[in-house]
Amino acid sequence: MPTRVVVWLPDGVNKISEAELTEAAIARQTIQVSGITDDLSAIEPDQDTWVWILNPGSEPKSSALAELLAAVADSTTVGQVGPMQLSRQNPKLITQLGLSLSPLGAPVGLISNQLDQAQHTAIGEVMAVSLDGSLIRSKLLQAIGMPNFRLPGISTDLDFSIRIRRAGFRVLTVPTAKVVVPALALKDDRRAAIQLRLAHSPLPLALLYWLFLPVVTTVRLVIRLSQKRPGLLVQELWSGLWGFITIPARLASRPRKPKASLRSLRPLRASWLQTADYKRHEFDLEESHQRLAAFIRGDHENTESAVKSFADAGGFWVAFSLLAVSWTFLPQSDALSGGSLLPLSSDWFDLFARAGASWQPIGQGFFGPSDPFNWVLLLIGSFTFWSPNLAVTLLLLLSRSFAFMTAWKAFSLLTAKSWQRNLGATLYALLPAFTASLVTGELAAIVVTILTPWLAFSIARAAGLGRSGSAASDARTWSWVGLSGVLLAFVTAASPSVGILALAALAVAAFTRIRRFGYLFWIPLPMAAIYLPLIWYQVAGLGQPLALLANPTIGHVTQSDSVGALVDLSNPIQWSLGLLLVIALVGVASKRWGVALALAVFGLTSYALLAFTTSLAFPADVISAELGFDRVENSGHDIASVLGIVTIALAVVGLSQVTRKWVSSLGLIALLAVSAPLAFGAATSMSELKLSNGSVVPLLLQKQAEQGTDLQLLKITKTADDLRVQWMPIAGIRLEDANLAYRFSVDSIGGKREYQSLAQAIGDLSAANGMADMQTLISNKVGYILMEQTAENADLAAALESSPNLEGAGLTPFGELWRVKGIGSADAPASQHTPWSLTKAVQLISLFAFMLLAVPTRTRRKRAEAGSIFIDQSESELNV
Amino acid sequence: MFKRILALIAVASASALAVSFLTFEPIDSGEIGKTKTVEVAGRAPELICPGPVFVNGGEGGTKLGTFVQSGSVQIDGRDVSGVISKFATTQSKVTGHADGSKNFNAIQVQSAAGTQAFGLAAATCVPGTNDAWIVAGDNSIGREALLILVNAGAVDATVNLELLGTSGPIEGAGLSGISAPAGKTTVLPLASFAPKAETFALHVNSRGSNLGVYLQQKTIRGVTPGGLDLVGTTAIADKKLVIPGVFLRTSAKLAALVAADQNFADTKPILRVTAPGGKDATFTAQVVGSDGSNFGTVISGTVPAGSTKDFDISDVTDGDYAVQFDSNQPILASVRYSRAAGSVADFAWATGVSASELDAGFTVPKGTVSKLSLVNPSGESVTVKLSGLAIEVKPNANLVVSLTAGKNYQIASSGSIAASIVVDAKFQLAVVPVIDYHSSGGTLKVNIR
Repeated sequence: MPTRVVVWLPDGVNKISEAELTEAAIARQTIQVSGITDDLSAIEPDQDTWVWILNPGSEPKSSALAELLAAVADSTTVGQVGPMQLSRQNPKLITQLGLSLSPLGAPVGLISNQLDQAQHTAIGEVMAVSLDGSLIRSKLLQAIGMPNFRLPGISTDLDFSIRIRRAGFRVLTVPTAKVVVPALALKDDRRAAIQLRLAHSPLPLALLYWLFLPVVTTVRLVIRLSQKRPGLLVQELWSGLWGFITIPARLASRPRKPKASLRSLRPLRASWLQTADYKRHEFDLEESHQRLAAFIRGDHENTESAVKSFADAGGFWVAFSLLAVSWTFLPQSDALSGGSLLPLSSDWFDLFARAGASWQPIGQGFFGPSDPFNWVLLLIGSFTFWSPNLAVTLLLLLSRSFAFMTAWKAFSLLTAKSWQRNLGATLYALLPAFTASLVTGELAAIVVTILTPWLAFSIARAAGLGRSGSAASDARTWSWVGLSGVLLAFVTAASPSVGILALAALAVAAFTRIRRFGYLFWIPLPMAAIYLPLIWYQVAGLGQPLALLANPTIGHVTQSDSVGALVDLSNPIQWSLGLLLVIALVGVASKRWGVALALAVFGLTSYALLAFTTSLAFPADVISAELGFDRVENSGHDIASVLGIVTIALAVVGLSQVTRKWVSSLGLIALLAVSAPLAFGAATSMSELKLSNGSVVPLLLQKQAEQGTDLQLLKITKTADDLRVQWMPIAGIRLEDANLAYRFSVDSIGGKREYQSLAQAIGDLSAANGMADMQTLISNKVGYILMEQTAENADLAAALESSPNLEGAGLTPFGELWRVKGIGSADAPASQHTPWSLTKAVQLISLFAFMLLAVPTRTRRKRAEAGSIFIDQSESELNV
Repeated sequence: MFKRILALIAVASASALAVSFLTFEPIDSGEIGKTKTVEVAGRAPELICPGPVFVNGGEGGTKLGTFVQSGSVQIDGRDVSGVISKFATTQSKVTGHADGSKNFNAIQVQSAAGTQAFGLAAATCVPGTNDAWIVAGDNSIGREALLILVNAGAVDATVNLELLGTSGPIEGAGLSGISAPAGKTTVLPLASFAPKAETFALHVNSRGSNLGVYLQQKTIRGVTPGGLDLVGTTAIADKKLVIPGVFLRTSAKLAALVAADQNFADTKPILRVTAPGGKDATFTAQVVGSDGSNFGTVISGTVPAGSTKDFDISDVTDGDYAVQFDSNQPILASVRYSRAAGSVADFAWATGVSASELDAGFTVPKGTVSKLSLVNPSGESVTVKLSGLAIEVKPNANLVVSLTAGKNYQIASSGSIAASIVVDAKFQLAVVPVIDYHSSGGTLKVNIR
């Protein structure tokens, strides 16, 4: 029987009425504690003395103490009883009635966020209760010590109750005793979970948990990202780090000689069902807060009535029709080559090894940053990972349809009318610049054309711009942020110039939607991760800032025609573009002239950048150099696609404001008139690409390379003035081996002594003077010489044929092949180059994290749709 | 509305201005890979001489299918270090010290008068090639065409043959993958590929060391040898072609021999034309005399694509001629003509020669009566300096210069000239072209990346 209650009021304010204490018929002793620092050492251990803790701001309801005392009146085994905690904001709302641990060890509130309808009346056994308002047997304080207020968050409460439990006493909840408390949240519950696991698990398990804490933290980070809760990442990371570093303190907090193990408390742990219920409650609460915040921001105001989805608008039919226009790209082989295209490696792991890698197998071997575009190639190749080239082949066939789909999404920001979206997107998919990219296999420009509209759409959604407004759900916004980050990284990798335009647009969006700055700020992160090494190399290393504007494409583009083609009226297709331009200009004078003006300014900026970048001449790429070119220009097809979508967007903006039917019909006819010649041009443009089996070197070399060797190949071409020699591994140069950093470093690399002596040896071989220093070739591991069989090369072939140091290996589809005597695979075993580096890991993590973030969470989306009072209905219509 | 119109005007104006005036000067960004300039020595000066005539069955003629070289050849020539003069009984490689024919050249001559061969076999020693055409040969009864492949290099060669007959390419087994081992001479009787074929041309393509490529053509009427020649490679196919050195003599005697024995019918001069391309070649050949007394003749004809055809030029009277071709397709050509020496006759194949600005040298074989036939196929006069002697060759004309036996000549021209030496040794006849080869070293640009 309790005879004495010590009311511990940490804030020193007595809120217990005399009447209540009298009613409880017990003596009263109040201890003034200034802060939660001192313990209750003054209290004598007494079986009948109880300590009642009341935190600042807590207000017990009348009879709360009496109810608590009544619960412990006849028990000698009860160590702690906790009241029902009610919300201060809404005293009808139960904020907490008992605590426990989930099966995975996370703190769980057993009952929370329920309205108190007297549904809970029975005293219950629980694992733990909140300290606030709980009554503790004073004798226990001597046995197990005071609550450790230095522990993080809720773990103080849980730890204390678990210690009581493990000391052999019971912990009860008394629902009839009610205390109004300030808003309770299980904040910092990750640190609490770590603390509890390290403090109460058996020591070996606790140490094992500590050992694997970094792994566990990593997994949890991934899960948080997939849950679109990047806001918790820092907390997760910090908690993991905290737990790992402060292990001595955690172990020091372990109870000494407990009577019971944590295992014995298993029946009191929350079940999976209870845990899921608790988390659902928590999420609902969070989401309702966000919706309310969105409502207060007025984000719902832009939401329009439901519009036709992509499927309902016949989008799939148009996309399918565009396949017919791309008939020349019907896959007839695994791979394609020619124009600006080289086959990819047939092994997905080679693609992975090149992405973000520091070592490039070009020339004598080159250490430098990998092309950011290799990440795009890796992604493309991953779709058909068993044959990466197949994905490229399919991409060329499907690219017009993809471009149509992404443009359709982008135009949904501007118009609700299906025919305008359909026609606008069709025009975009048929643009001459896009056609030119396709026929020449300019993969980077193709990727840019497909992704740019999607990027515009996702940034607009993340920023809350456009006809549909923003996503009210935080998770959904993060999803758009993730998608925007990935798309921006890929677009920039494919075309740095378009990346600059996208960054400028993002900056404008961020500053016009300053409340969204916190989201938009993160979008360039993956782009920075994959581009910074190259920026550092080109700017700080080579002092060539303009080199950053070089496209990662290959193929001899010695004179860009993008600017000239726009005003070339001798081409009938240009007339149709002229008509489009007129419609676009009319759009500027529409009711939404502000939007149109912004688009026009962006378009003019793009044009200026196009004119500038196409005036730049960069060192030749691998294909161009072989053809005898020293310098190449950007094709400009990438920025031309941006210009294209801006122009079409202006036209769509104008047409979207038309209310008169006859004007609308006129617009429809005009757009049809524009698209017809473009479709004709697209369908009749013959591809420069050739069927390929994916090989870039003779089969003999390919098979030898597969066995693993460092043997090198010299591919010699004779031009009018000089001999062009491509130095490469015998596996050859593939698309992923084309490297921007190498292109700009060729000058400095070529000055090396090895290159000079190799040039002399090649010169002597070509002169057939018998003076070639073959040791130079052998020491550089040159095992083969390949030369295309052309009339220009005939003399060179004869010279090589007559060398006693070379052995003819036959005529191959790639030219005549000679083996260098005196060196073989056994003399040049493959040296190992790790595909990993620190930069690669960072790049991979950032890309993977943003991809995880970009993947929509189905359950949440459904939830959002179900309660779509604020959420744009078109948001989930298309997940292109 | 005002704002909207203003926006329209602003955008339209800005667009027009941008398209009209927004241009940037070309800027080079980044350094291109430096092309390395290397000094390379020329090919080692070496000439391949095929050696004496090959006879079937050995010296005694009893070992059929075995070709052995019979007799010896006299090799005359010049190197910067001095005169080359020696005899050889087999193939030989002449090593010199100069980088071109001007100061390093050699010619071999063999006058055969044995039981198995009669005639003059003369040939220029050559640096070797891996792609050559020979427009000559006859495999009819009593005629023997042997392909001689001399590999004086250190690398084995693999040879592919293409025979273009009167009906097109002659197909047959064994035409490809023929081995020509290093340091050896390979002899191939063309009768095994084109039996009894009277008219054909031969394309030799090889991989490996450069080869000395010759065709040895021999005639035996009954059991009497009656003509021998060693034919070198002809000029590359061209629409404009020149054949110098068609010096017709003893036409009356030859006609008498033909009248007496039809087996001498092949002593009549013929023009052999090959169209190696994929289209029929229609040509006009002017057989032009070296002075005003000989008018020659003009022949027009068509040769089907990928075939060889002979054209009779027996109506041309005795005299010194050269043939100039004008064709609508690239062609190859040569002329075969004979001379009578008593009851026997010898013949020679005068092959097509590429006209070029000469800076060459040649040696006249000792013990012969030799003349130089110079042809200027161009429309302008060309001055030829022959060891100091200046000779003017008029446009589209040819002339003959007598040469001194055993003498080394240097020849340089101010324009395109084709030249051949007609060698006469006691009515035995041979025609060898003057070749102008260079093997000089120099600088070479090599771009490695």
